[in-house]
Amino acid sequence: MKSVGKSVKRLDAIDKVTGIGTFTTDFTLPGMLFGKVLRSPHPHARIAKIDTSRAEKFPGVKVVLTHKNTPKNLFNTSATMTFTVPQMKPVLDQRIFDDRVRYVGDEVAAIAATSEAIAKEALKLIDVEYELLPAVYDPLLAMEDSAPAIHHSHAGKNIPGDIVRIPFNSVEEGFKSSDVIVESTFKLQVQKHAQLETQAAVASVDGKGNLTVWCTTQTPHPTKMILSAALGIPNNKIRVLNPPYAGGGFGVRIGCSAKAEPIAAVLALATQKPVKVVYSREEDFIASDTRHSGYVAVKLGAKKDGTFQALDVKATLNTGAYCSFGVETPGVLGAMGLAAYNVPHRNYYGHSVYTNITPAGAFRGFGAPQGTSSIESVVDMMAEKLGIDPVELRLKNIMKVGDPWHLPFECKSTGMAECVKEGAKKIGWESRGKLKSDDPNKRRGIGMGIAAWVSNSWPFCVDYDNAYLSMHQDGSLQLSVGAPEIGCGSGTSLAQLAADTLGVPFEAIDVTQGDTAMTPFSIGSHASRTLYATGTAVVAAAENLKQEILKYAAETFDIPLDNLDIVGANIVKVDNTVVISVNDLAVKAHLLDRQFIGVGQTIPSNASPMQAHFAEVEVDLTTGKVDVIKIVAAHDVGKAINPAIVEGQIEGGALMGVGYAISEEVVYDDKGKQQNYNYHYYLLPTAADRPEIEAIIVESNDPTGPFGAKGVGETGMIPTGAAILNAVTNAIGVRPKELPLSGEKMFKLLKENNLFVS
Amino acid sequence: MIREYVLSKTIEEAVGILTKNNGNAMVVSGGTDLAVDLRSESVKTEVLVDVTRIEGLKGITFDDGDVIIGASATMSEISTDERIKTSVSSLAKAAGSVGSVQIRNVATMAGNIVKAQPVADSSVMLVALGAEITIRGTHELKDILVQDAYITVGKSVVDPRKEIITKIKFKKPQKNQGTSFVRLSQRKALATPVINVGAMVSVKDNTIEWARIAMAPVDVKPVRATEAENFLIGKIPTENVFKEAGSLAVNNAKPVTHLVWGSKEYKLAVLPSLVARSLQEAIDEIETKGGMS
Repeated sequence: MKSVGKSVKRLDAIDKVTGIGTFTTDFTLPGMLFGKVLRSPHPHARIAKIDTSRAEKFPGVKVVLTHKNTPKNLFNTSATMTFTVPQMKPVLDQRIFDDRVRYVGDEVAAIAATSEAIAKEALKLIDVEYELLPAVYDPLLAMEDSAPAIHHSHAGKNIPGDIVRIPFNSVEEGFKSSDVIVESTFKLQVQKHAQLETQAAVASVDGKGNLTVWCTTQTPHPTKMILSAALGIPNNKIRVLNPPYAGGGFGVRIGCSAKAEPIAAVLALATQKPVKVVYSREEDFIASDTRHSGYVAVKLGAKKDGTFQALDVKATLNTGAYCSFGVETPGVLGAMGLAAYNVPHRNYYGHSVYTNITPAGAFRGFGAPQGTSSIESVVDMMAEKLGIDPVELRLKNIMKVGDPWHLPFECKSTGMAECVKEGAKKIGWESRGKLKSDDPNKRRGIGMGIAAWVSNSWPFCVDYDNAYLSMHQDGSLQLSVGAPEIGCGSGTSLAQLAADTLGVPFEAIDVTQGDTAMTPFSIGSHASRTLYATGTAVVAAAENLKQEILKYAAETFDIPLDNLDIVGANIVKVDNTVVISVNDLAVKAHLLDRQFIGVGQTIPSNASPMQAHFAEVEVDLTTGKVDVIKIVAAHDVGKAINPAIVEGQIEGGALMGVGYAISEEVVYDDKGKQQNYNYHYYLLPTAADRPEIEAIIVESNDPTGPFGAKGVGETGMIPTGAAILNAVTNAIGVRPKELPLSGEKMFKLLKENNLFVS
Repeated sequence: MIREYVLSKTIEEAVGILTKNNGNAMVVSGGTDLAVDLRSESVKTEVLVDVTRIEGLKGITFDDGDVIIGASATMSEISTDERIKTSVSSLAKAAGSVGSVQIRNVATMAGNIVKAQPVADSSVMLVALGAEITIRGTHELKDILVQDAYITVGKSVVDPRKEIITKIKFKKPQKNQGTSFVRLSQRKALATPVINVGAMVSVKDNTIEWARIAMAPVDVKPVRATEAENFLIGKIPTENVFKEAGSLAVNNAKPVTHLVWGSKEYKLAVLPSLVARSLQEAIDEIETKGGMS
């Protein structure tokens, strides 16, 4: 009867597998126009002149919009502008269109026309005169006095918002008390989400002037607030929803990165017609947020016996042309980077830097893959220097329940030790250093990496959630939550929580998600939070509903409330005798003028899911090519509400981590032009490249999570790069300090160390 | 804008439509490159002449020592053909390396040749096999070597607005001949190779009689490693001989840096070992066939 802990079939399975599910890209309305965007060919320029008269005359064109005829309100396309914690101020540095462009692909103008082909053709007729400005692409160079100022900033040259400082006891003292200190700096690349559905929006205006936007966002409610700020329209005049699906997200849609939503909205408002804007894959690659590239420096001090004394981390990230999540990402990199180990002295200093490349924002792991790849490399360096096995060194230092840390919530559960031990067993850790390849020019190695993560965005952002659970007149149930289904299976898992809390079968529940007019407020599906944070609200709503139903039954049948419960499909007494079926009670209540509605309103705590990844790799000394043979991913998820969904999240994340480690990278030429702007040029692993991935679920049952659950949406991605870096080091005896470990980068490293075989 | 899409039934009809449209019609087979080019407007035409329904262009035939690949045979057909896999496994491997499964299900070798990308896996292998193509236009049939079909990047001697390729033909490798295809790429599908090498070696009395080595992308067309080929003549095949040949291959290579697919330095560094590997694999094949005495 209970569904929690069972791999019940996903509610969206048939929609997704057969293709009948609706996505924004599929969505169409009568009389709909098509919008296309003109983008900057220059990395940094002022628009001296823009003449749209030729485009306006083109048959089929309904409107041409530029910075001259659109609202100039400042906003931030990332949802951070709607939930920045009150002691900080959100960075507002974007307009729908500006008179200045700051990266190749920046939005200059938009056209609505009767067909996409006409709109595209008419773009060529917009005459723009650019006054070129000097451009800068590297964050370290952008901080120099001579660099062009890309935006106003107060914390330092081209530094958006404030610098993040996390002191925890005196790190200097910690290094003084250390016997051994190791340190190194790592260079991380730009990674792209490459989610299946490109950024897209359909906007429509009704007779009241109300705007409805069907779009790909992961955060309908915050996106409503961003549109409200950008357009100067009240929240209740804007409805944002998914129709109902979004084709993946991975963080790129926490808000409205690349502005499909606001651009569709202004085109619809200008024409009073529905307008559809679907970005091409190239537009999605060059204009929507990426993962932050940059530099992470790590210094670790330990006693001779391996006890960590001090950990100091410094990050300088490249946030590109606009801030987006450029303040929060370095913050989370530091806060969670310092959280895996019980180190008595910790320190973090980090920020991002504006440059003239595509803006960087939220991406699965939100700074953690960068931090973890670097920190875990240094932990392995320490293991080597001390002559202690990396598994032993980690087990000695990992956070345990109740250990002090710098975060404002307690560590109330951790299955990290079990993750490390189980993972080591499954990868065959005892064979580390003894693996031989059949080919004399290939070297094999094994490595590991660990990380602690979050189950929602507090304390880095405001985080709370709401749920309605209402009973239909026949006793079936409607769960309504603001966080959308972006492919993670969250709707299914939330229904499982509601069903088991209420005591009814899983099949009794249907779910409505991601619609600002029909669901209560949620900050959305991101930060590994939907199951944990929205789930907490769902459990509260189900408890509330259960009380409403039982109180009504108690009064109706004159039975003491504490003698009643819901079991299966029935209201039963403590002795298990059936009083009435839930369905019959609903019918009865309806005819006597009553609906049962449960409301859950919760402010979540936070809990750290813990994970340990292990990788086996083979390096070809004649080509530099790294083959990932196997990944073992052991995850403490608190409680697996739906094990198949949890395994899917872990495996998908691990594969994304493999791409991050060995092939994925967006490079820019010396004119700021992206070179990897589609699936051909961007080296995402294909199905054929997938190594064996073994997911291990560890359940520590966190006391703060719904049914003990913690987040899992991002964790699969976080320590994979670290495990592969350490495995490659184990294979060749030299440590790479730059990702990805592409054949070419590995060739250079092997050559420098006289290991390349020609 | 495309105004007409013709499903030709015969070679004559197809050539007739091309001639009638005087440059405004183009041959389409798998269309995996052409569709992309038309969409990006880098290629323009009003009429597309689909040749995939023409009987005479279909299939793979083995005929009296010749292997004949119809112009509309797809990469998937070629890479999974049992006879090809047995007697020219290198070509099955090359065809199976093109693009992705979805691309291979419609793409053709003839299209690969006309598109004239130097790095095209199947074309590189065809050069090593010494393959010829037959071209049909208003002129008489003419046969040319695949190797001579290239003018420069993206431009072949076959004009798809005037002519069609009808077949690809090469001699089936003998017992004393081995072939191989070696490819270094950054992932297993949808990746332009850093380097690919096709090789064919013929031995007589346990010494190398002759060798053909084709490599790419090291110039504007697939290039023969002629210095290495000349060096190999009369040599006893050993690891050191292959290594030496690999080093000599660099003398015929003029690669350029591509920011995604690899730098000039990287390509030149890996080329020798890939050429050596291709030669070793070709010799291994002869040994497996019992062609060494």
